[in-house]
Amino acid sequence: MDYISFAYDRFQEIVKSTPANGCSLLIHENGALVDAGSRCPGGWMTAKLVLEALTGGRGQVGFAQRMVDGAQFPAVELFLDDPEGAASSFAAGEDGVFGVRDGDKYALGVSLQGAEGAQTALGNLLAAGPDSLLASVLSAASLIPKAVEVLHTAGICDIQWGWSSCPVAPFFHDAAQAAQTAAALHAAHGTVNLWVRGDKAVLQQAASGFSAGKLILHELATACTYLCKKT
Amino acid sequence: MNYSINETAVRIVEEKLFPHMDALGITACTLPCGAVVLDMGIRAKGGFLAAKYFTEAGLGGLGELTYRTMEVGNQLLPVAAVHVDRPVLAELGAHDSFLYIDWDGAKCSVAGPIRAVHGADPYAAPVPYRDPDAKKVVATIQTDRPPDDKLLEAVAQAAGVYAKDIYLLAARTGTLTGAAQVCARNVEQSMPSLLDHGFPMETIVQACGYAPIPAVVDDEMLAYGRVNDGLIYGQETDLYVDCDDAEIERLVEILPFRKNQDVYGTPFETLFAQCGYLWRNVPRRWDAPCKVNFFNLRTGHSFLIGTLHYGVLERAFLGTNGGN
Repeated sequence: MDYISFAYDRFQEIVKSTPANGCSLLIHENGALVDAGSRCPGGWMTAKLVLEALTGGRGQVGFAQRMVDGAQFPAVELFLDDPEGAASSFAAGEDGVFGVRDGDKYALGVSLQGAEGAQTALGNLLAAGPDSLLASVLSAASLIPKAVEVLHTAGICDIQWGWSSCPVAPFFHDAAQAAQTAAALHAAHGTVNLWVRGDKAVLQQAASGFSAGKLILHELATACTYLCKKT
Repeated sequence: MNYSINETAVRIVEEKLFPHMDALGITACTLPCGAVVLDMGIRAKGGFLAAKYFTEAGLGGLGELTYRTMEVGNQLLPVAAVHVDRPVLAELGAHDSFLYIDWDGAKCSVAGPIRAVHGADPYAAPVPYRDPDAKKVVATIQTDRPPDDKLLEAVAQAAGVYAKDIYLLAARTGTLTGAAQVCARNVEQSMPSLLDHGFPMETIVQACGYAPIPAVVDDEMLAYGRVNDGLIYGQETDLYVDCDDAEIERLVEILPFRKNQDVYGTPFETLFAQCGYLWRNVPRRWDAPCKVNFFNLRTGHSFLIGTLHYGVLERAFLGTNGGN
């Protein structure tokens, strides 16, 4: 199934489970809007369906747990066959909305600025606030897209597969506190691995300079692995 | 038995693979002999999902492969986790790669539920299950050569089927499909060793297993080394059995890979080189599980046999340059 069809399918799965899944549905002139963490709490199952849509179903997405400072934290684990496709889905437009586009509308789009900010985008949208589980899950899932962006900027475009494991940060009404907590948690405990082909020096620099988590690059042709030396 | 593991595997091929080949990064072609070959990672890209279905078809649909992570030293490694029903049938009767054939003068092995049609090889033969009426059958092979008519005719003859009825899933080790499906041979690796040591296989009730997936590389020989490190130094199988404790206790020194004290701790890449990169030169005793945990329903006792070797696993993960 292509990304667009799959995204439509995942959105319908979310709609079918509303309101049991902690979400609510609003049909408006621009499309359908699911409140998945703005005025409604949303939940894990919806977050997982969103992740499946954003990664095109090309791999395995799920929840695990990681030990952090003596506590078991929930974690997002992704094993992806198309890291670059996933990265495209996570790239936000000027309005802050990101997702899988079908022309000028979204097959499944996400706005993390609350329900009010999402009604101008066309198509199927999910809206959540920065103090929601969905926002926290997607933040934990964003290591692969961030790493792909770094590699693309460095001119590395042969990215085959990737996996990541990152704890889900606690979410607070204080957005600044939540963001700070997440950044520190992901930097210390988030891991992303990509299998690539590219220049040694570029890969070394990319791995060393990545601050969102621990980036490990496995070069397929030379059988070498690059990671931040300070780890 | 009134179920066909080949028919279940065929459904995986026809419902999970054929409709999604682009997304899975695989290709398929029909050979002149009529067999259909699915390239899951020879020239095709493949990936995590391709490996998942390669494994699950190879199990005759009797289990699943999922991905997890585990901490090894300072690193977090990806893991192939297998949970399998009817483990003796699924592994000895299907998943284990013991249907040997000659392909242009080279000995190679084939796995999958095709082995259960007539129980044609020594490890499928003792499994009390046959699948003679399956209209189509599924086989899997680890190879870097695209399969051809010669191979398929040889497989058909060895298995006692018609080549035109075969779906053959193929991948080389130097791809993610190949590496992950080898590391998914965790429970699989334990079974032949248990049979060889006379363990009462009918007492095995349930099983699951885990093995880390080392860094995948293009070079096939290097890839062999790394994925086999994942198995002999990192594979851990949980077996739920119903037997006398004595049957387990006598395996403590003779079952796990660490029994090979002359080579234990040496990366498989080095060992394989010592064998001239020829599988026929690899001693049978090296194909031994790293760690098997027995949980005995009959006595309530648990036996943890074998140990993981974190040093070799980290080395296999950190690449030729050691992560520098």
